[in-house]
Amino acid sequence: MAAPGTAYALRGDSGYEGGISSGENPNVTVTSTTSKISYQYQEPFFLKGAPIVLTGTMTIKKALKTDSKTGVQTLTTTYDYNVPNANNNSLVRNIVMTTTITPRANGQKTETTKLTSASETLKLNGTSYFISKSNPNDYMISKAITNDYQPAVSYFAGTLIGKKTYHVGTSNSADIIVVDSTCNTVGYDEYWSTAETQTIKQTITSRKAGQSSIVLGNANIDISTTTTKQLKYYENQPEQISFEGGYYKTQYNENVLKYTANLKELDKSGAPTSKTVTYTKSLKLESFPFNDPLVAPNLKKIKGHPAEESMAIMFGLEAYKDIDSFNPQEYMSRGEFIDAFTKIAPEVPLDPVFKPKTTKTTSSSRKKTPVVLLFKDVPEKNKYFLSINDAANRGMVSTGGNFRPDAKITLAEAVTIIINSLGLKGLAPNPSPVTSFKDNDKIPGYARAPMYVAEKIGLIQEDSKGYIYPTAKITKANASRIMKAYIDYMNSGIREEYMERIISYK
Amino acid sequence: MNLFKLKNKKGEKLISKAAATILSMTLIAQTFAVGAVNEKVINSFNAVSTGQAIINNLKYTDIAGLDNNSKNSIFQNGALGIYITPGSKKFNPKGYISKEMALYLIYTAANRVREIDEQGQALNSERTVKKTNPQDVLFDGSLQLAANDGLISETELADAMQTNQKTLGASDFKRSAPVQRQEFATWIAKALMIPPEPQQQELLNNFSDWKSCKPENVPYLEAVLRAKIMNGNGSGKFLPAGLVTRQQAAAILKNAEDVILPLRSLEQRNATVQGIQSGKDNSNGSTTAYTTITIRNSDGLLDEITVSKSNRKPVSNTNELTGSVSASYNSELPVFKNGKITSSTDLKTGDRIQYIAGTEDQIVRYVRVLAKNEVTPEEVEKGLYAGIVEENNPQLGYITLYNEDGTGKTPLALSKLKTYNYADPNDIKVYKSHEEAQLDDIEAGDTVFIRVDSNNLVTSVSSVANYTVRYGKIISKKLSSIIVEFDKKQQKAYNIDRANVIKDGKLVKYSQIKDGDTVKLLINEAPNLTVLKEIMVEGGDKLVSNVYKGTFDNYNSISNTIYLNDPWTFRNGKWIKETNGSKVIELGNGFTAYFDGQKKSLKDLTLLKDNTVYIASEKDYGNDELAAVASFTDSTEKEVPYDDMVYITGTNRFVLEKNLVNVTYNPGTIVVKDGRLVQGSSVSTDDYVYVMANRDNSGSNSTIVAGVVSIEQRPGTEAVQLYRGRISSIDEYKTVTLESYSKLNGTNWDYANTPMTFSLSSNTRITDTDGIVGQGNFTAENTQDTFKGRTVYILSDGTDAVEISTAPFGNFNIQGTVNSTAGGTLAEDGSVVQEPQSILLKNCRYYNTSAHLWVTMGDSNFNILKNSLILRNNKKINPSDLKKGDSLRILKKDNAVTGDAYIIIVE
Repeated sequence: MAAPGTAYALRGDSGYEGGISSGENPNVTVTSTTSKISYQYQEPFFLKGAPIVLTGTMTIKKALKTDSKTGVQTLTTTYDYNVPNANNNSLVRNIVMTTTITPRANGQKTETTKLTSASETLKLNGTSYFISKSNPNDYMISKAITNDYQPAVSYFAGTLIGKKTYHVGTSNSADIIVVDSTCNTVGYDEYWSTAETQTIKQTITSRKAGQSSIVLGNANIDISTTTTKQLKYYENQPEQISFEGGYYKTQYNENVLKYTANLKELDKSGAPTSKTVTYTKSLKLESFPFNDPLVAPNLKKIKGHPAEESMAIMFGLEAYKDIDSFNPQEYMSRGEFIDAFTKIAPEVPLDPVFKPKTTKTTSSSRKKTPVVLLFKDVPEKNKYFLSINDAANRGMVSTGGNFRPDAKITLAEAVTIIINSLGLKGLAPNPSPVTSFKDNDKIPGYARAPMYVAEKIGLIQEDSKGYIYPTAKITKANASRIMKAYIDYMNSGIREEYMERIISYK
Repeated sequence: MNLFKLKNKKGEKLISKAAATILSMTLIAQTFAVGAVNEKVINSFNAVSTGQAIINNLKYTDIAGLDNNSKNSIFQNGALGIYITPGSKKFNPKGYISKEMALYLIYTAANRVREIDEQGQALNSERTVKKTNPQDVLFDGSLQLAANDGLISETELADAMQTNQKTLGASDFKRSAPVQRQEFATWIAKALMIPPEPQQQELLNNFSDWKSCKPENVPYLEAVLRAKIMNGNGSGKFLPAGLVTRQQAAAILKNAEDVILPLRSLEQRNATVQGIQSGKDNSNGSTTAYTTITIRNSDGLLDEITVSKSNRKPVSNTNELTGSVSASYNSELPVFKNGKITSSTDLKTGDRIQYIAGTEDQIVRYVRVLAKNEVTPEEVEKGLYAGIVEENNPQLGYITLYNEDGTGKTPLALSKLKTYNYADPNDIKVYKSHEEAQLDDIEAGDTVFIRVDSNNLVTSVSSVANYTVRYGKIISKKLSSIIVEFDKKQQKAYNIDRANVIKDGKLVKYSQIKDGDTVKLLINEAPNLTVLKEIMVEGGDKLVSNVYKGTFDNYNSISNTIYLNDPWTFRNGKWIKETNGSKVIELGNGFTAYFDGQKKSLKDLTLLKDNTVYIASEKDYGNDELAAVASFTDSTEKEVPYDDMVYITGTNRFVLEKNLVNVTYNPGTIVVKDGRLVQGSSVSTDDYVYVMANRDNSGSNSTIVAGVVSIEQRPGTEAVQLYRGRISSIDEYKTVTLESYSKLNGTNWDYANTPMTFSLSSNTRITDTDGIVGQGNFTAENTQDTFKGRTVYILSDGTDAVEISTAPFGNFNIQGTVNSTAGGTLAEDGSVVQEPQSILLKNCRYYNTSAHLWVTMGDSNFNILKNSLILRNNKKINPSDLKKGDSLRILKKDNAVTGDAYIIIVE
């Protein structure tokens, strides 16, 4: 069962037909291997000379099979679209797609998707369009995706090509409209937000029986399906309460579609004229927000501190604990930092359909799994053993040798761990970047690329004189500022990159 | 083998348990081994016979703290017999090298030990008091040979040979004095026969103290620098008179290995350990154990190195008399692995090794195990350098790179950077982003790969730009620069220079950028300069949607919304009542609230309940809008509207031309210009403005403070080009000709009795009473639906026909303000399902042509026909685009309050 409030990487929430859905509602219960969820759905159609947007529902059903030997997974996804008749428009569509997911030696997974079956009955302004199951050539799709897994973010990108042949009037009519589409898709999944963008290009061609075909126009559709978790503060009204206020995580989906269609204007008989009219419009569907409270300890002790907000969030997320013994000006140890950072940068949540089946634990399988010591100086009894091992297993820190959990962490070290978790080191120029900081030369070699990237994405900022002090130790207050900036980046910055910046800048 | 190992380790029980698995594993291993054995071994090497002794000698106790490169230099030179400290466990890395030692080392390296020995012996034999220390004899020989070869002068030799060295002066050649760096370099060049370089390039470019070198040494220093045998001190100095430590000497000799090894009939080879097999040979009576290390060489072929050990231990009680000693032959490989000198026993399958072996005797002297990610220089092409460009100067013919590790930014350490000279700037292959380019295209901040020839001159450059993308809003656009505000409210100015401007996917002129535009900037943020490369203007998804006025009720922090009572919408300088309901507006990300020009936090808004507030909202996706700014006013202030032109602007104020009033603005003033939220300073002279201002009587002088300033393109400023006439001919898809025409001029139709031809294009739209007519059917042929002889309206752009309509002739002009439209329906998403069929106007009047007067008439309700033309700014719009408050002029056939509207012009 899915824990409520968890943003899953629900890829394909908007389907691949050029429409958007309201996406997952966190309150809906889904089972671990199959899920069936109904979403609000909108899709623009460009077959009638001017765009027509249909609004209805889409139901997604997923089932997964895993080959235990090869690790190859087969995901069967069934999409059911339904737009009840209104204004002489309606849609009934059923699509079954089979995706083969193959793990690769470098840790990536590649996906290929084929159409298993498709049928569609569409009515636009009273004209009916049909795609029948019996003719598999009427709808073809080929989709290829590469998944790249980083410690705190999974990225994916790929392409899709498709061809739909609608029969106009009757299901076997020789009057057809062909919609050719290509689509680039790119996105990411992580704890604080997810995004899937599709950049679709459609060409619409009509052919009447016995006549030559005529191109009716084209449409560019940009789709961004996102989820986000924002942190919001609430203040308690009465003064006489044990805690002043606190934070809650509010999670919702924001799905946007923008199209620009250049369509031949139709004359009064429905035949295309030579005039091309450009239509631009955006659609937006949002889910109902889901709120999840954070812990709210009494933080009188840090009230008024310049980093109070950042630290309060760290306490709310239980990245910082024990306010009584907390000193914001204390330098942070490497162990403490990893412990806090793994709390705010948890593993990428999996789509429930990909979660391993949980079988009832029998007495024989309850045996304690052997403890793996990844660092000589981090024994099992170390306070941060689990966090450090988690960070190492996910690749945020490299293993082998010593971890030095009690040593005080430097800015360069912290930034390197953070950028590692995003897998974005590669954004820095080759062979090794020269940063804008005045003390660039003081940055240790391993941290040069991470520091460069962290500055570009807004995690760190030079002081008023242009220095960054890469090898300086960092206090708990300053660490909380950097981690707060990380959360802001993870729930807004990166999402913006996959939404406004794809949709509104062309 | 597997079985054997397991048995020893874990005991027999385990074996029986896992027998099956292990058996199969063994079988696999054997099959594999057989496969490897079958492959032909190309080269068979042997370990050096003195290997173990060398290892023992090299176990220095005082070099543990050195880095691996230094250790490797020391061990390699030691293993090759160039640099040994017999009998001492100390290497003394920080000790200085004397002149005689330097010469001895260099000659040993050059494989001339026999000669120095001969020279030394000859000198000694002439002495009355013979030198007994063999090392001293060798030093004598080195000095003599150096004099013979011209490394030192005869005078210097004489000084060196003086028995009492203490009598020598400071300028004399004292043999035990530390050698200078320039001497060492010159001697190396001469002894190793590296040709002098008369042209100074390395020295001049990279070292600030080149002037202090002795002129006669300079060509040799240049040669040694170019061969990368010596280098500076790491901070831009060569230090010619500096001294050489033993550790540095080892590194220098190691750097010269490309010259030294061939002189000693040695070569360096690379390989990967493929397998290690042990075997025994009992054929000679004694047992000899062999370890054969199979290695895969860099050509992919199989070689092997054999280490052999006689099993018989040296027996102390045997001598030549008591028995014949069996020729015990032990060989071993000095192996440098993980920072330690060790033997062949530490080699493991999979180790990548670099080893030095005799080209003739096939004896391996030294093995180094490469670090996990290390790439050997032999595996890498030479003459290709990578880095970030610090400066590219094709005019002066050089390019300077930051260091490959990204350092080189410390002020005053510029000399640390690497400068390369262009061979011939006109003959250099240049690529930028994989396309052929000019040298000028290489910019500071680019990543470059530079190929140099044997003279270290650049022959080709390949680069990619490292531009940064930043998003922001244009705060102020100047003649040749823009000020941009970024996310966290920081502002930055950029020069425009040659930056491309892109809008709607097209390259446009800089003049198309407007204050308030949100932009994506492509910036070359090189470490020491910033150049704006490209400005992409956001497509218009976030323009100002509406400006509202209302009574503030509350702000809800959970839903992040403002609740507004009695809302009014600002349109054409007036407040329009669009709804009787209240309004709930969601706040956008950058929302700011002001009260009386002061910024207010969201928490404090509760205190402003029932105050009048102006709110500007920006468009969001899907017909949504988000509040961007709210400006609260004091409820007692009285609002004054202006519709005027800006006469002059000043600091925080502007003067209106007609009204001649001084309007001030503050940070809370909502200023909308061309649909964008801008600052007050963006208001400029000659702007047509609508102003909603409040008179502030608090001070001694009453001032007028703008609440809302709206600068927009006024409809009707462009003349409508509307013609009417009878079609005489049509050249399909090309032209349409009217036999005579009337042109709309204000309220009159001006008639001209001449034909007029308009061009048709694919964008010309033709509408008749039933709807749109395709151009294929727009014909003057003798068909049933022919257009020949029909009277039409033609809306033109110059002589291009844009709209052609068959709507009837209307010569009555009626003016009015849109109150509502009727007959239209909207879908859930706000899209138009059905266009409105009629329009209700208020404040109507008609033009009495005979009296030349506008005459007031009642509220009117007119039908919109399929071929009615609705025009705004000389363009056709849809009935649904008409908004409440729009001022219209309508052409009709009469002045009745009902009927059909033929032409509707938004004014």
